[in-house]
Formats: sequence, C-alpha cells, structure tokens
Amino acid sequence: MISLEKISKHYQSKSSQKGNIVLDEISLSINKNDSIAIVGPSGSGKSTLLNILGTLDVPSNGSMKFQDAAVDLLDDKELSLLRNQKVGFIFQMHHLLPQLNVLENVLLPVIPNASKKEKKDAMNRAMKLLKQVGLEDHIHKFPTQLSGGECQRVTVVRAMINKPDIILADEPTGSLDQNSAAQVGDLLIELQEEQKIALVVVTHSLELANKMKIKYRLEKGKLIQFN
Amino acid sequence: MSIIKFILRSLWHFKKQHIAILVGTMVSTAVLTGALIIGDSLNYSLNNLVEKRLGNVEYAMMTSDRFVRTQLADDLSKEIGVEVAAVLSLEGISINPEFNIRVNKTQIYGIDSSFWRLSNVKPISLDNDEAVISSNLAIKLNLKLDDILLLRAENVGFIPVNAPFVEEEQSSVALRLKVKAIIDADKLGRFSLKSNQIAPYNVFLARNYFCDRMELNGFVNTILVENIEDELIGTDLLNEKIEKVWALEDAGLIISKIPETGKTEVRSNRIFIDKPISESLSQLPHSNVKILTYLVNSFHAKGKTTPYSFVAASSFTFDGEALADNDIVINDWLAKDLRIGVTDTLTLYYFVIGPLRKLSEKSSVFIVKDIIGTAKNGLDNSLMPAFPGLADANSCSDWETGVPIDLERIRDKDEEYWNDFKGTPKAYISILKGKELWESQYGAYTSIRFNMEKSSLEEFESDVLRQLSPIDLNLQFLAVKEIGKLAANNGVGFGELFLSLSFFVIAAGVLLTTLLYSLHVESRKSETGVLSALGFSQKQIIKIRFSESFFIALIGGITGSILGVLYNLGLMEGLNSVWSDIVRTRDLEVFIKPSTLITGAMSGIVIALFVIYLVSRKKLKQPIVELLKKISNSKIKIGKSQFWIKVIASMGLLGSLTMITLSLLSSIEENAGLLLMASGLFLMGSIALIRNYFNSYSNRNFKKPFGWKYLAIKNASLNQGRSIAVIALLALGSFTILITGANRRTFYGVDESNNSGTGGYSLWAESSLPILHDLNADSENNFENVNVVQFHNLEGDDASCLNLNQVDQPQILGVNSEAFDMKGAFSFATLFGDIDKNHPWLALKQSLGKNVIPAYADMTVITWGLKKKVGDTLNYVSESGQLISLVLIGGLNNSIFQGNVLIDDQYFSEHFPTAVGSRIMLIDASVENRAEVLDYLNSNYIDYGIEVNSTSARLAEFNSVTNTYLSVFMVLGGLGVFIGTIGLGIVLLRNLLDRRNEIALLQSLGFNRPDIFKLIFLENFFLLTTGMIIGVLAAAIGILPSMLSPAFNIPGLFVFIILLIVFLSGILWIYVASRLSLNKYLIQSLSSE
Repeated sequence: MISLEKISKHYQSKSSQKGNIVLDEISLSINKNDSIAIVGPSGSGKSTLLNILGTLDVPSNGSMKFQDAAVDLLDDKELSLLRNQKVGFIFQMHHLLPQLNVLENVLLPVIPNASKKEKKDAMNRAMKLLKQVGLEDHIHKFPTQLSGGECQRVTVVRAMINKPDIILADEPTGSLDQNSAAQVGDLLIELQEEQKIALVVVTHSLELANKMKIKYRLEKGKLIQFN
Repeated sequence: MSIIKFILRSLWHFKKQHIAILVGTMVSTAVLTGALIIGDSLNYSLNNLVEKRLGNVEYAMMTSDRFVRTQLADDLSKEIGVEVAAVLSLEGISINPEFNIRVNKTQIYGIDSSFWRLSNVKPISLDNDEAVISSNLAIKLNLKLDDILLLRAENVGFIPVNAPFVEEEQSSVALRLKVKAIIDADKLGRFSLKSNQIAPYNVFLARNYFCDRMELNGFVNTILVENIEDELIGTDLLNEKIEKVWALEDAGLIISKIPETGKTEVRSNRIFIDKPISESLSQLPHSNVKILTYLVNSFHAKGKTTPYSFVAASSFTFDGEALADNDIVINDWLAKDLRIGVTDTLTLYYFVIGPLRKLSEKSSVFIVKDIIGTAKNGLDNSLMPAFPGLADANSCSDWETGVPIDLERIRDKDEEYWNDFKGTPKAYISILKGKELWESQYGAYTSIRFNMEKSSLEEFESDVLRQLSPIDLNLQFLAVKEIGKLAANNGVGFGELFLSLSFFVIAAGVLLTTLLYSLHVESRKSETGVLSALGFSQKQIIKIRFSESFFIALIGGITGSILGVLYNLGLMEGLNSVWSDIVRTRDLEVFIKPSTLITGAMSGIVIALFVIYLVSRKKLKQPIVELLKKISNSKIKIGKSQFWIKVIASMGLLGSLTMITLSLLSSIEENAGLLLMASGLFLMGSIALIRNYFNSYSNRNFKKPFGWKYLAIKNASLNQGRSIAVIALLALGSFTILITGANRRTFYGVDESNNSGTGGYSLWAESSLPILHDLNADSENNFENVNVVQFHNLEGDDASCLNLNQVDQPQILGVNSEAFDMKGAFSFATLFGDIDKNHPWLALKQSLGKNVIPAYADMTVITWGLKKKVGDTLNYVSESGQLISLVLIGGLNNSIFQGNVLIDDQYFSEHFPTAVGSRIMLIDASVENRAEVLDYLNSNYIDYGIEVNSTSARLAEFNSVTNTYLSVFMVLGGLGVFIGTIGLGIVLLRNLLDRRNEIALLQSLGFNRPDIFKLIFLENFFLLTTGMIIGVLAAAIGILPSMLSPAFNIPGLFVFIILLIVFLSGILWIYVASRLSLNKYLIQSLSSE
C-alpha cells in the first residue's frame, strides 16, 4: 500500500556543511492490516519518518508511493485529498480545535470533500465510534471540558471518521497517564483490527510497541526491525 | 458540521481577537470615509454658496465702464418674458462715522424692486437716504438699524476718466445713508457675481437715487436675468434679444443734424468714438467724413505763438482736394495772428497723455496749404467735442482740461476768440496725420459726418443700430450661475486633499489591522496545521480564514463608515475654527451622500480583506509540520535575503551621505530636493540596518556578556517582521511630523532680496478706487529713495490659494516689464521654451500673434488655482469684444503676485484701454523711511480706500494657507502615529499573552516580576526609541536648507509637543501592557503545559 524507497532526510545547520542526517536511505513497505511500531530515542527521527509517511513533510531524497502513486508528483489538491481520504492522524498533543465540541471535532475531516450523503453517513459513523470509545455522552462538550485521555480518544475517532487506509499515530499516549495510555493503546488495536486498516505508531513506550505485530527501531537514521 | 458552522464557531470563540481586528478596520475606514465626506461637503457648500450669492440670477451683463439704459432691462424683460433687473454696481468704501471704522472694497448696488423680485425675496423699499447692508458689514462696522453709514462710491461717468482733456475729478462721491435693514445670505446679503467663498461686504441703495448722485440718470452698468425653471434661455438668445431692443444711447452714441451743412453727425458720449463703432460705421453705405478734434498747446511760426487752440484732423477736402500729411489749412484768424500765409511753415505743439496721466509734449511741422474763413461752411464750434470743463466754459480762464494750462499765456484776443467762436478749430490737417499724432486707446475720431440726402434721421439711426453689434462693445451676457457652479464643482479637491493629509491615520489603521490579524493567524497556527493534516487544501483553508474575516471586515467597514461621519464632523469643526485659514469662510456645511458612505465602507472592507488575504497566504506557506509545532515563520534567514538586506542598508546610508554632500555643493533651489531624497534614503537604509542588526542577534552564537540588553534585543528580533513594522511606522510618523513642521513656508533668503517672492519691494498697496496719477510725481511725496510701481488691473476672480473655487479668469495686471527686468525682480520656477533666463521679463513683450499675449503667473496659481500648466492658455474678452488668449509662458516662484496673471502694460493698454488708473502698487522704500511712507499713503489716500501692508506680510498670508495644510497634516500625522502606538500596545499585549509560558518559565528560573517587567519594557522601549530616532534624524537631514536659512522658523514647541505625545503614548502602552501581562497564575499556566 505504501512503499518508501531509500528515503533520506537531513537538516541544514551553520556548523555542519552536510547537515544533520535524520533518516538515512530508509526503505519500508506497509501493507493493509499491518500494525507497525517505530521506537527509538528522542531526536532519532521517528516523528520525521511518520510525517513523511503522512505527506506532512517532504524527504530530502528518495521516493514514496502510496497505492502505486508517486507522492512527489501529486499537487497540493491531490495530496490534501489523499490525507483526507486515506490517512488518519493522531498527534501526541491532541490538536482538537477549542472552538468545536467533541462531535464537531470528529466530523471536521468530513467537510472538505464529502457529499451530502457521505456527510450523513459520517454522522452515523461518528456516533457509532464515539459510543465505541465511550464518549457518546460527551458529544456536546468542548476540549477544555475533557481530560487528556478523553481528548485523545476523540482524536482517535477523528482519525477514523473517513475510513482511512492507514492510521499514523505520533506518540499517541505520550502525554497520558498509565491507565489512559493503556486504554488508548487498546483502542487503537481494536479499531485497527476491526476496520482492517494499517496502523503505524511512533512511540517510546515498549508496552504499546509490543502490541504491534511489526516493530522497528530507528537508530542513527536506519530502520532496524526487531522482535 | 458544515463550513459555515465552523466559521461561526470560530468567530465566536476568537471574538476578542476579532474585535481588535475590527477596531483596526474601523479606524482606517472612518478616516477614509471622513475625508471623502469633506470633499462632498465642500462641493455642496460651494454650490450652496453659488445659490446664496446669486439667488435666481442666471445671467448677467456687466458693461464695465460703459453704461446702458435702465429701460434696456425693461425692454428685454418684455421681449423674453422673464424678470430682468437693472443695477448700478460700483466699488467703494463704507464708514461708520461714529467710530470711524472703515471697510474698503465694499460693493455698492443701486437697485430697485426688480432685484428682489428676481430672487423671490420680499422687496425692501428704499428711500433716497436709506441703505440695506449685509450682516457681515454690519458686524465689521458695528452698525445697527437706523445707524448712519457713510459711503464713498467710485466716481464714474460716461467719459473714461483718463480720456484726453478730461479733468481728474474727485475719486469718489460721498453718500450719507441710514441703515434700513441688515440682511443675511438668505435675503441676498451675500450677493456677488464673483466665484469666491469669502463673503463680500454689500450695500444696497435706491437705484434712481444712486444714479442721480453719480450723474448717470437712467443708466446702469449691470443687467441681471433670472432663470426659468425647466428651461434655460441661453446666452446666445439673450445676446440676440439685446441686439433687438438696444438703442443708440446704449452704445453711447448721439446722432444729430448739422443745420449749416445738412449733414448728419454721429458722436459718442465718451468723447472719442470706440474703434469697433467707427469701423462698423465706416461700412455704412453713405459717404462720410471722419473728424478728430484735438486741443493743441500752441502754434509757432515766424517767432510768433498762438496758444491753446483746437485743431481738427479730418477727411474734408479743400478746393476739391484732400490734404496731404504735412498740409495744414488755417483760418484767417490764425493767419492774421501769426502773420503767415500759404506755403509758410507752422509748428504744432501738443500734449500726449500717457499712463497715469503722464504728459509729454510733442511737436509736428506743417506747411500752410490754404487759408479759410473762420467758422464758415460748417467748420465751426460744432467740431469741438463736448469735453466737460471746456464745452460749458464761459472763458478760457474757466477751462478745466485735465492738462496744465498756463493762464498767463492766454491773451485778450484769445478770450475774444473764445467768446465769438468757442472751440472752433483754427486749423485743419489730414485725418491720417491726425490719427498718427493723436489717436488713443479710446478711439481715433471725435465725430463722423454722413451725407444723408435720401434717408431720414430715423432711418439712419436704424441703419446705425443694425450695423453695430453689442458684442463689439462687450455688451453681452454671461451665464454666471453656470460659471459659478463649474467653478465650485472644480474647486479645490478637498476629498483627495484630506485623503492624503489623513494618509498616516489610514496607514496606522491598516497597519494595526495587519499586525493584529497576523498575531491572530499566528495563534491559530496549529489549527491551520491540523486542517492541512486532515486534508483541507491550502485553497480551502484560505477560503475559511477569508470567509471568517469577511464578516469582521464587513462589520468594520460599515461601522467605520458611520464613524467616518464623526471624524468628518471633527475635521469640519477644525476647518470652521482653528484651520479656517484654509477656507476663509465659516459657511462650510456637512453634506453626507449615501454613495460616499458606501464607497468609504467598501474601500475599508476591500483594504482589510486585501491585508487579510496577504497575511493568510503568507502564513500558509509554512510547512505543515512547522505549523503543527507552532514554529515561528520568522526564523533564521541565512544566505540570500540577509545579503540583500545588507545591500539595501549600505546603499541607503551611503546614498544618503552622497546626497548630503552633493546638496551642500549645489544651489539652494536644488539642495532642497537632494536633501529630501537623502532623508528618504536614510530612512530606508536605517530600517534595513536595524533589520540586519536583528538578524545578527538571531544568528549570533553567544559571544558577548549575556545581559538585559542582549536578551531584550534577542526577544525583539524573534518576530522581525512585527518589530520592523512598528519601527517603520514610528520612524515615518516622526519624520512626517517634523518635516511638515519645519517646512512651513519660510524664506530661503532675506526677504528684501530682489529674487525673493517680494521682488525686493517692501510694501504692497491696494486701493478700492483707482488712483489715476503717478504717485512718484505726487507733489507731497518728498521721500527720498522711494519708488512706487503702479499696475493697471482688470478685475477678475481671485486665483490665489485663498479662493477654494476653480477660476479661469483671474485678475490681470499690466506690468512694466523693462523695470522688472532691470531690477531682476522675482524668480521663476518654470520658463517655457527658449526664454532667456537672464531676462525673463522681456519675454512678456514678444509677439505671439494677433490677440495672443504672453503672460506669467505664480506656479502655485497655475497648478492649483487654474489647474493648468506652463504653455496653457487663458481666454478673455477684450473691451472691443474680441477673444484674446493669454499664454502662460512661465511660472513665478511663490510671490506676492499670487492670484494674478501678469502681462506687459503695453498689451494691457491695447486690449483694456479704459481700465485706467491703478489699484495695486508696489513700493520700494528703504528701512529708514518705510514707516513714514506707510503713514503717508494711509492718510493721504484714505479716501481711495488704500490698504498698505509689507510684502512679507502678504506672502505670509498666502503661506498661512500652506502652513495650515501642513498643520493639519502634522496633527493628523500625529494622530496616526498615536493610533500606531495604541496598536503597539495592543500587539504587545497580545504578544505577551502568547508568551505567557515563556514568561512563566522566566519566573520559574528566578526572575522576579520587576525583572520580567524590565525585560519586556526594554524590548519594546528599544522599538519605540529606535523608530523615533530614525524618523527625527531623517527629518533633520531633510530640513537642512530651512535650518541654514537665516529666516528659519519652525514651530518648535508645537512639533515638540506632538512628538512628546507620541513618545509618551508609546511608553504608556508599553507600561500598561507589560503590567497587565504579569499575574500570579503564570506558574500555573506553565505547569498545565
């Protein structure tokens, strides 16, 4: 579904002529139903790799294909469509919009491209998912009225609303307490198996990583699979 | 969930930020709309004034120094079926005798009931000793009802005052009247036929009485015609009708039969027959003899002299032969007196009367061709024109000829001749010779005699009238109301003017909107990143942001437009009070057009949306990842952009230095422009330098001791765009305030210098009544080193900056070009073509073709008053009804002639021969006797309504208009900068709110509240002072010429106060924002993060 071919990413700095190499010719294939964990120390480039996978960032070298389409050849409109329809993001900082309530935050991804019918379906889907995550009674609450865990669960539902092919989660439990973290982690797996979608999780939590079928470690720009 | 719902939610959630943006939009819109309303208001007020000053008068015929019958008005009225009023209109002086208060330049109107009926005003009937006065005159003279008013009206008559052999009479006629009524503008108190917003001083009295006192019984010089609703008569039709109903008396002609010869003679009540009349009469199909009779000083022959005699030049034949140019036929009385005969030589001595009654005696030699009987065959007293003072004199010693008569030369036999033969000419010369010697601007003939064997007198009179055209005598109607409306509608573009004067306030509002919106978008960066991550395209995000802001812009535009009405009221209040020097009237009314409000609102909305669009688009260019992480957009820019900033800084500062150097080596006229450029470059270079300084701080690897200053500047350089915007606004504002204050008009040299705006003359004098004689030859003028230059003038509209209306026929002055050339007086801003720059005045004498006259005017008058440029033409009608074109061949630098057009006096006399005397004078007096000269003129010529001022005071009055505009600019500029400082405060507050976590962190590291306050204060104090210092230094460069001038005069206190207000306002906002941002919950906000 997604293939990365010798992806590199480096940042310019005054002190180094070559720049800091964050990702060094990484190649990776992700298929439907894969659940992948990427671990590594802070600053190893895990989030960078995830951002490239989600087309939020552009690699310095290499190529990426999403369902056989070369990503670097897509324009902004096509990329936006891809992100909207095919990818679901879950950020460490939930990034819920404070002016929208739970239900509205969940339905936000529906606005750009959905038809009337699709919007109606999305509404039903949203209610169903919110019920699944135990937030059906909170649909009218605003993010400032929710706990960290609740906010993250809303983020999960938002990421699922357009039935994406892949979920990309960047430290989804990073700012949560142990209980909430466990809840969110289980939720992710549950939804991934149920919806049969790919899931890539960047985490420094081994507990969460162990829940994924495939595990990689990102060290010195290289991706190393481990068990 | 829909986009609209999202937008509405966002609007409500971020309402505080939106309100701030709304305020910025409101400010710029209010100022813009207010400025536009001023334009509408002025236009409306000037149009209103046209209605007030003219009432229902649509057309007017002003006959200048000619007079037509009052009956003409009645006949015209019957012919066209509308109300027509005959008015005697003269200038004069009004006096309150009780308090000895005088008002020169009073307009006196002799009217009857038709004048009031013309404008549907209730007639005020006037007895002979009563007057109606305008309310402004009543105030000026401190007069109430039934008070006594003294008038001195210009003494006029049928005969031009400067015609040969017309005695100079009293300059004015005194009238003593009782004030019957005082009227306001709504009752024609402001009546005037001139396009000017300044209210005239008017007196109305009974026409018949006025005419009687002026010895003009039944004659007037102004005809007014009302308009008809729905249908304009048109000047063509009116002029056609005048030709139908006019009579010989209107042309000043008298036709009579000569009993002795049976011939019919045409004479003029102006003594000399105007050239257009004589040319028309020559085309009549009757044979005629033209006659020019002249008073000569003496005949000389064979050592003998016959004094003071009349000579007739004519086309008579003697013995069937016409006379050659040097032939003279004398009567037997003269032959006997001189003891000469045929073929003897005879010399004639005679006076030629020049401008200001300058007499020069000339002579001409003749050969006696024949001797004829005295007073025979029609060659008798009937040939003498009806010179007043001569025709009715009983003896030679009673003569009043207007030229010096040495009574001792008159012998008994001369008295006898006068008794027996009166003015019978003693000699005859050819008409061609006579014209060569004695033709004047008033005409070439004193009579024309026709052979009328077949026609009766009545038939001949009809023939004459048919042959003549009123237009040839400039008896034609003007559409005065249409002209007035045109002048009002094309007057000073106050709307555009105030828009530019309000530039800084508008800019401040726009900048405020930009800054606040930029902050707002910054604060919602992560939201933008999320939307992108969720699949919203850039276009869609811009659309959402734009739509959200559209509501704000719309509300801001509408409310701003309404607030603009208040801003306009403030401006109008200023114009009607402290800034009244610009408008010279308190009759400006507010006029609000809905279309203007809509235009203002739309403009404000468009500007706001444009700003919002630009900011949104710029902010979205950041990568999504940075947006999500809220990384600042103004991060380190290395490489190319830093390079260019350095280039701009270097070029700006070096360029400025170069310009300063060049300017010190060049002339005063050039260095002003160079230094202004230098100050602009300095501004640009300094701001770029500061930008580079910020860059260096951002990029700097820490080398120096880490301190408050370092940290403060590091913080300021964090958001360079915002910091530079604040510095630029403050720099530009301070620069503007200082430079407008210093550029209030001063002299660049000593005001006595010949090439200054005073021309080297110390006094300027104007009189209400013309002074006919040469003041330099005034017997009581014993002053040494005093020279008076007198100008002929043709009245016109005031084209100076004191008149808000556009004019196209300013007053014309006839100047002595050679005198100005010798003095090197005044200087020129522009000269056309290849005019000799060393002798520009002589260019006024060049010939440009028939009826095309070269002219000069002040450059400011050409550009702003006339809305023309050098090379353009002004059209006038000469006294003979011909169209003449004045070509503007050059523009004077700011001079005392502002408002006038200058032509050579020769051309003036040629085309306006009867505009004699002078009402405008320049006096060259030394410092020592200046005060004495002033006193002398003011007391000796008080009855001419003379007003004498220093030329520098006159220039200062013109400069007062410019200076007032500059004051307005300064105040509005200061207001703009003041708003900018408020913006600085709001931005600072918002900025600090966003930096709460940073501030909380500082607290956690041990910075106490005073420390944090100090840091924030330093950061923003740096921006405030840097901006103001750059602005003040740039202004100092720009005003170097003024500072170097000995007459430098900057309103230091005023400028200092405005700058101080700006500075203190900035300090206040920094202080308030800094204090507000510090509260006890900061640590808690940190922990919640």
